[in-house]
This record gives sequence, structure tokens and C-alpha cells, in this order.
Amino acid sequence: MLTRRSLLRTASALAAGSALPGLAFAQTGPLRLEITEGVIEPLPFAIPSFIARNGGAADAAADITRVVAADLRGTGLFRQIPESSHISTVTSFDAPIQYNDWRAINAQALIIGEVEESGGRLTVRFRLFDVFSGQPLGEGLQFVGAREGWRRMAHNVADQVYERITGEGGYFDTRVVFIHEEGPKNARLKRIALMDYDGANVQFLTDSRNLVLAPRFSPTGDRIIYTSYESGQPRVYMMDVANLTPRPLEAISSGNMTFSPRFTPDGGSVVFSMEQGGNSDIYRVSVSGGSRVQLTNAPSIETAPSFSPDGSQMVFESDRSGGQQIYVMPAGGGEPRRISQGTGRYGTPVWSPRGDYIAFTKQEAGRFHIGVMRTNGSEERLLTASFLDEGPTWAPNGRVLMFTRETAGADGAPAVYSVDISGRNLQRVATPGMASDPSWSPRLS
Amino acid sequence: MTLRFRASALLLSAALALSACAQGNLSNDGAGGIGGPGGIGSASDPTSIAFFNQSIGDRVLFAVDQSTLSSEAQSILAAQAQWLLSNGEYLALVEGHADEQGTREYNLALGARRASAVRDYLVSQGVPASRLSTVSYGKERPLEICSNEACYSQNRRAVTVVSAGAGV
Amino acid sequence: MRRSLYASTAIHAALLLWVAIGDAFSRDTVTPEFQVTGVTIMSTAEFEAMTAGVEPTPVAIETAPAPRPQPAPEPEPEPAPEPEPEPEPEPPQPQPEPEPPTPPAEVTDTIAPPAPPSGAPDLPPDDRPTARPADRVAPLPAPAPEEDVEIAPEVVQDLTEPAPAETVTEAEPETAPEEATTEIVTEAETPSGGPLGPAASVRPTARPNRPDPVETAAEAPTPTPTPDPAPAATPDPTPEPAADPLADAIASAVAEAVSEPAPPAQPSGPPLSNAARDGFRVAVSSCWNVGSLSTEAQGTTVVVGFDMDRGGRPVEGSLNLVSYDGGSQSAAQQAYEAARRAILRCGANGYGLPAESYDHWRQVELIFNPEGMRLR
Repeated sequence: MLTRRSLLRTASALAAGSALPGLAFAQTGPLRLEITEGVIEPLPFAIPSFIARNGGAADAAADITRVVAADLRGTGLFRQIPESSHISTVTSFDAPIQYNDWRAINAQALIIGEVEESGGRLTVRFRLFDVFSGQPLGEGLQFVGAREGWRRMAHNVADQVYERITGEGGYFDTRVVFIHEEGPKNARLKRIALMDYDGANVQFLTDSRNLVLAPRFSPTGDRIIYTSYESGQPRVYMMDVANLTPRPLEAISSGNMTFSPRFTPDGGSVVFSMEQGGNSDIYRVSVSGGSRVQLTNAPSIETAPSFSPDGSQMVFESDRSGGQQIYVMPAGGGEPRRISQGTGRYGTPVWSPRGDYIAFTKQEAGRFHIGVMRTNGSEERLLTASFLDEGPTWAPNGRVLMFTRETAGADGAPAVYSVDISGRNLQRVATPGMASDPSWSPRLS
Repeated sequence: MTLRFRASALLLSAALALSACAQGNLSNDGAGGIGGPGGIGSASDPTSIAFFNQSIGDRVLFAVDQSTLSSEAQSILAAQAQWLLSNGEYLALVEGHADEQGTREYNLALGARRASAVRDYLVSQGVPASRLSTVSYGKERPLEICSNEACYSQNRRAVTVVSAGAGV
Repeated sequence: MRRSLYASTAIHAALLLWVAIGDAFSRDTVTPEFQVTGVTIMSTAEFEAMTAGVEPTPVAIETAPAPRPQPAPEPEPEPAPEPEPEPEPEPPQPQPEPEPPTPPAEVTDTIAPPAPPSGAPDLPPDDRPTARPADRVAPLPAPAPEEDVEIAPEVVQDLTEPAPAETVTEAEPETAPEEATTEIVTEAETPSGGPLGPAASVRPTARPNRPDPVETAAEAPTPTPTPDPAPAATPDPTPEPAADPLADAIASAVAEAVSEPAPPAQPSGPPLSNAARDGFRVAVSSCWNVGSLSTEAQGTTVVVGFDMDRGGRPVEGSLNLVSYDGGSQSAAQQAYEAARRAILRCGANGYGLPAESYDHWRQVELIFNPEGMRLR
């Protein structure tokens, strides 16, 4: 991977930058060596069961430990060392850490916690240690909340651990809105549902009377926008998560289909597709009403708009070249620039919340892929392959994607999967039944 | 209630007919109850909906990703237009559909394109635009459920759903 | 009484966090999950102070968790919230609405293992030696170990002797490098360099079983051959044989960049051989895990300095971040921590450097450059 040019560049930088305190052959000063090869493997961690400070906290302590461990394991970046292998038993939250015991079982990170229950409220404390350097990683933290909120407290502990070790924002205290599906393939019933990112706490936001598609969270996570056939036509509706009352995005003359909505990064507007006379273009309208602004104007299909996090650019798909491809244009209007360059068809582009990548669906040679590319279309990387994968959504840290995977045939069924943007750690997300069209919320805390 | 699927139901097994009925119900929900309470009549009655569905043909098929009308499709639509012109009390809703080999939102747009192509053709044959409307179901309402071209070709369709409406 | 022991900084932190997140919590009422009400930052010292008047006895240097010296990260005194008597401020909470019954936790709280992609044809048996999905990515591919071979944290090797090109392997306690590929193989791709594979790529349905590493970590170094046979590096009078491409490149770059001759100091003992240097490098590499780093940290080069004792073990307290390049300070901190773990973990039993050359490796600076590891 390392080219000779980059080697030379490094060497020059070394020579110029450090006034030669001693390169490999210099006879004074430290021995200097460059390490360019490493390993990529899950980091082993130990999480002894959190201590229950009193009897009322026993269940919560066990549950919280389990969820923290599951969160970390689920990233694929961490490997849990089973408690049966532990040498040290942690009996007190404040007892000195027996680092050598943890080194002996190759635990590189150690999570110690305790839970206290009082009057229906839980106090959760934890500390994280870097075992091999014998130091805490960051300060201890304490979360206080109602007992029913134990899952969120556990997710917050895991978010902290994840952040401190990886330097990346955590994504465990998040939710996912998705479509729950029931019934045979030619008579599907669909409902909008909400769950924690790990599949817990499923709630249904709509019943199955009206066909509903592709719900998406607002940037603050308090609203959902989606497409419903409530009026007979596909039409964009918005719903406050707090009161679950749907309302149409705007009054549109009958006969026009609106679909594929997504919030702008400030949450103040929605971009969506509207069809007129068979032609679909992209429009923008303020959530508080007002006139809509047409952003694309072409006789081809323009849909699946998504904004860059700074709001300056919009990515979307269009078949103006003959097949679905991905284009970027200035948010205020201007000439779209095609960025997808490979063979096959590209759709459902979604800009990463970090701004560095665009995730997409690619269709080629009878198979579907989820992939990522740089925002100029370079460095395309396909992460998955199956009969039908589509519709990626980003975790708030821009490192993990969820998407829909549907199996083939008369019994074909959709499910939600997640995958790391490196292509590793492909997993099915537990849902109560068939599920599709996930949309990841921002961090709740 | 199961207007547009009756024709195929007659040809299919009982099991398939059942699911087709279920689909018809759903579809009518989605389409806002078009189809109405009236019966579809007897296929031997040339003014009946049953005759339209079975003898004229209520649907046309499309090639992959296409919304252009084949010559076969055009002759079916010409007959549909004739029927609509001579049965002026009926409205028609054109449903556009796609096969499952595409992303959801693109397929919605594609279904709309197909429905619109049919609607435009019927208008060109003299059917008043005020009697026609369109809706797209994308890949949400497959008629056939296998995952190969035999099914896909049947699912890439536009279905003209007629209902007694005018004069109501 | 606990309240009185809380440092005021903790209260400040709680207040700040409350201001920052309280709104988010109070905004939603759909699940009871939203009732997390406050976060208090406590230092280790504060925690210790809380323990019923009993001071934890610091036993040994590594057993008493001491807070890292930090330039006062706590918020400075703010007059207004200071007298606030409530240690755990709660944001106003709307009452949760009656909930639809939540499903039983056991079906919903885990992410299931990947299901085999259905519809994918079974792949024909394939004997090509190409990269394949594995849980570990390492510089050199390693086959899945035999069932009862212990997995060592590193490939143990003895660097005291220059490694002859052919060493007879001692058959004794074998360790095998953990199974690894040289690159990440996604579901969508064929390993680079390989011929085009079938359209489907079937992932393993579960992670490969691995022997538990528990027994191996305390193991003593066992002589095994070095992975790359180095040219028989007898002590060489010329300071730098031209065999090492890195050193070569550095040498030529330095020749360009510097005109003054190397300082004339003369440490005692023979200089470190190429083989010993390579072995040292490989040993650290095998513990340098960049997989859990942020993408920014994976783009940050850090220089870590430390001292070694005569046994070739890093002196724990001596590790320090000398400099960094290519990322923010926080990314550099994560990168430094990963490098520190690598140095300490693989050096726990000594790096096996030749004692007669101690002056040449008493102090070390390692440059951890992850450029080649990104998105491997």
C-alpha cells in the first residue's frame, strides 16, 4: 500500500522536520523507526458485571452491563472477553484496578460500573481504563434517570466508551424509524415504526390502512416525514414524534404525486419529488408553508434528493443520461454535475452527516449493492452485494450504514441490515418482523 | 371490489385468486375507493366493466425501464378508448407499476411515467382528460411474485381501472 | 452528605450538560427512555472521596488510578450556578404518554448475527490463495490456526541473534499468528489481484471460532523464526547496509535535505543490525491495532518516544507523544493511545533486543504512520 513516493515524502519530512535527532543510523539520540504496518482487529475489552449498590439495582445492573457490552460488540470494533475468563473480581467501584490481572487475559480496555436504585430512579456510574498503560481513559461519568430509562443510560455509557477509544462519535443512543411489513408479497401491509437503533422498544406510529413508504427523521429527531397513500395518491406527510398527528406537507392540487422527501440540514425545509404529467422533478418547500421552489427542471426522473450537512449542495439521482446516475448541484440552483462514473445504475444517494462520503444503491448485472463514494464521485467502494439491497441511511457518526435487504422469490422478505463503511461487520438488525426503509435518527443526547 | 384482478383471477389457481382479491382491496383503499359499490356486470354485456377487463383488456405491459407503448399496447389502448367513448358514464384510473428490480422511489417515478403514457394515449384517442386520472404504485403492488423475468414482465404494467363515476 | 462531597466542578459540569441536553430529553415524550435527566462528570478523586470516608490505598504504581494531569478542563467558576444546591438538576419533564406496550426485551435488544444471504448461490470450492473475509487484517496473511494452537498476541521471536536466513523451527510450544487477511474483503468485492470471482460472495455466517486468548498472554517468549528472513546480518562496519528500502529512502532524502554530517558521538556497543530493527518493527506492528480508530485518527501519524530498560521492555511511565501530523489534537490523542497500547502490550516481555547494543536502543522514537492501513 505504501508507495515509494510516500516513503520518500515521509523521509523528507522527517529529515526536514526534526533536525535529525537521530534517524535509524544516527549514533546519538533515540532509535527512530517508522511503523507503517499494523493490524485491524476487534479490540478486546472486559466488562465485569456492574456492581449493584443495593438490592433494587440488581436487575438493572445486569441489564445495563449486557446492553453496554452488546453495543460495543455490535460495532465489530470490540471483542468482549467473557466474564468466565476474568481473574480479578471487581467487588467495589472504587477498588484499585489490578491491571496485571487484566493484562494477563489480554483485556485492553476495562469498563467498571455500578448502579444504585433509589425511589424508582437509577444512578449509573462507570469508569474506563486503558489496561496496558495502566491509566483511566477519561473521567468517570454518572448518569441519573428514571428506572425505565435504563436502556438509554446503558447506551450513553457505551457511547462514551466508544468515543474515548475510537475518537468517533457514538451512535448507540439513537433510534431508527422504518417500515414494518406484514402479509404476502402481493398484499403487503405497511406501517411506520420506531425502534432503538438495536431493535429494542418498537412502537408503531401508523396503522396499516394506508400504504406508507420511506419515513425520514428531521435533523433534530423530533419529526418524521414520509410518503403515504392516505389521499389515494402518494403524498408527503409530516408527523411530530411527540403527538403522531400526520399532516400533509402542503396543499397540492390533486393529480400530482409527491414523494421521496428529506429534510434540509437546518430542519426548516423539505426537499421532495413531485410528478406532473409523468415527469418528476425536485422541489423545496418550507415546513412552515409558503410557496415551493423548483430545484430541477428536466424531462427525466429526478428524485432522492439529499443535502450536504452544510446545506450548500444537493445530491440526487436522475436518469437524464438514459439510466439512473448520481448528480450534485448547488443548493440554490445551478447546473448539476454527474459524479457517478462506474458502470451500472446508481440511486438513492445520501450525504454523510460528516460530509465526507455519499452512500448510494448500485444496480449492476442483476445484483444490488450498497456503496460509498467521495462527494466528487471518486473512491467508489461497494460494501454489500445481494439480490436486492437499497436505501442506505447514515449513523450520526458517519461510520455505519443501515439499509434494506430483500430476499428473492415468492417468499421474498425485506429486513434491515447494518454495515460499517469499511464493508466490515455486516449484520441483520433485529426487528419484530419484516422491515424496510430505515432512517437513522441523530444522537438523542 | 376486485375489478382489475378479476380477469387474471379467472385464469389463475384459487390460491392466487385469493391473494389477488386481497390485493384488489388494498389497492382500492389506496385509490380512494374507486371502483364504487356497483357490480362489474356480466362479461357478455359489452357495456359492463367485466367486458372491459376481460374482452378488451385492462392492462398493457412495458419493457424494462421503459414507458413507451408497444404496437400491441397501442391497439389495446385504442380499444379501451373506444369503449370509454361509448360508455361515457365511466371514469378511468390508470395505475402505473414497476417490477421489483429497481429502487423504491425511482420505481414510483417510473410507474407514474407509465401511467401518464397510457393516459396521454387515451386522450389522443379522444377520451376527455377530465375522465382520466393516474396513480403510481411503483413496485409496491406486484401482481406476480416470483423473482424472474416471467413475473417481472407481468408486473411492468399499467392497468386501466374503470368505475361508474360520471353523473354520480 | 454525599452532596457535600461533590466538587463544585461536578455541579458545573452537570449544569452545562443539562443545558446542552436537557432540551433534547424534554422534547420527546414517546418513550420512557427519554427520562435520563442529568450527567455528572466526576473525577477519579471525587469518586474516591465519595467512598464512605475510606481512602483507597494506593498499592502500586499501576493500581491506583490517578487522574491524568489535565489543564483544568472543568468549567471555571460561574457566579450564578454556584450556590445552586441541587446536585442533580432535572430538566422539566413532560409526563410520558401512555405507551403502546413495548415488546419483550429479549426479542428486540440484540442485533442478530448476519443471516446468510439467501438467494446467493453456493460458491464452488475455491483453492485460490486470495484474501478472504476474516476478522483481522494484518500485514501478512495468516491461515486460520489449527484448533489447539494457542494464539499469541504477537509472533514471538528472539531478536538477540541476527536471524540466519534458514532457522530450523523448534517444534516446541507453538504459537500461531491469529487468522488474518491482508485486506478487508467486503461482500461486494473480489480480493484485489485475484481473478474475477463469482457474482455472489458468501460471507461466513458467524465469526470463525478462535481459541480463547486467555492462556497465551502470560506466555514467555519462545524462539521462532522471524517472518521475513533477513540477509544474515552480521555486525556490519558500515552504518547502513543498503538492504533496507526504508532506510535507503531515508538516507537519500536526508542526503538531499541535510548537508552537515552526523554528530560524532560514539555510544558504546555495536549498532543495531537491520534484522534486529526489522524484528523490533514487526513486533510492534503486530500489536498496533488501527481498526478501532476513527477515520481521522487513521489519517494521523504520531511519533511516540519512550525509554527501554535493559531487558528490552518499555519503561511504562516514559511513553510520550512527541509530535503528530495529519489530524486534530484529539485524533492524535486516540492515535497515540493505540500506539501506546501496541508498544506496551507487545513489549510486556521485552523486545529481545541485543543487550550489547543497549546504548543504541535505550531511547526509542517510533513513528506510527497509518497511511497504508486506511481502508485496507
